[in-house]
Amino acid sequence: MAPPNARTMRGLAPLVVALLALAPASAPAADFTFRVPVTLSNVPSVTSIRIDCGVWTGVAFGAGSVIGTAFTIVPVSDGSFSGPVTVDVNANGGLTPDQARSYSCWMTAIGRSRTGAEYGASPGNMQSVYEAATGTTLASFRSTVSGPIPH
Amino acid sequence: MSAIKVSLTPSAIVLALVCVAAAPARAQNVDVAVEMVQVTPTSVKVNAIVTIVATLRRLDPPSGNAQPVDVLVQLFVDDATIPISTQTVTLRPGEAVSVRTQWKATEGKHEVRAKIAGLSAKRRTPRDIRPSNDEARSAPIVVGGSSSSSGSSTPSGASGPRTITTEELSMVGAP
Repeated sequence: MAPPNARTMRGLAPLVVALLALAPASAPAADFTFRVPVTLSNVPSVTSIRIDCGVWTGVAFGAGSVIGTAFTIVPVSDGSFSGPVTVDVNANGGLTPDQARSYSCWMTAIGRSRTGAEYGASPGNMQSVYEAATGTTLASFRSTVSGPIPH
Repeated sequence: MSAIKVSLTPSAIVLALVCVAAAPARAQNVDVAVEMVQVTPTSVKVNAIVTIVATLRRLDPPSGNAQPVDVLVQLFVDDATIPISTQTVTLRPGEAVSVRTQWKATEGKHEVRAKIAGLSAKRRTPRDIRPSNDEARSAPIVVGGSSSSSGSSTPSGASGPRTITTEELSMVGAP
């Protein structure tokens, strides 16, 4: 079969444009979109943060079963960050969004230690890992938020 | 043409089988982390029941021959050596799972620790490549002096896509 020539390609152009116009303008909405305000200041070793969010079936956070979890990684420069981080969570594993009763979001800080090695400070050990890695003090932090799914 | 004569005595066969059996199976490198430990509520009265949730995540990237790993996780209050809960969960690469237990609060300020106590798998022995993330602690729980019952409202179910703006997460280094 002969390869398509320039004339054929020009003929297909309107069809391609039409198909693009029919395509959805954006990805389908997630079951849950979390907007997590995040503020970092004076943490120069941090190179990125990872915000995880999860949705559970139980009223109390973590009770019942996990409906879905997801995360977003955001680069950090100059030791500061301020703004909302969006995390889209979809139900998976056979559970449905209408079974959701509670959520939680948590932050992990990834950075470079004094030795140049990468560290990851999770909510459970944020202060100790950060301070051991950097040799500096973490004045304050809040690494988890949780609550009921609004209705 | 010369021929090599090999005699297979019963003892030689047994020795060969033992050697094969003793050959170490190739280990599977895995990275399982305790990502967070959360206690709700964080301020309660004595004898109130608090809920403890630990989230574990398998961080090693998916690969064609990665197999599920059984993770033994234990939950401790403060520096106790006897766990209040021991559970086993199965994790595939990239998966997260939460374990949950409840605890009757005693007076004082407490922390809950979650610790990965062991890994096992059916075929290839798992080798934890990053033990430093095998343990995490909760934020402090403050348990007041007099007992009371706690209640909570029951939200109705969610329906349809929704956007939730949470409270702020923050991290501030000392000047």
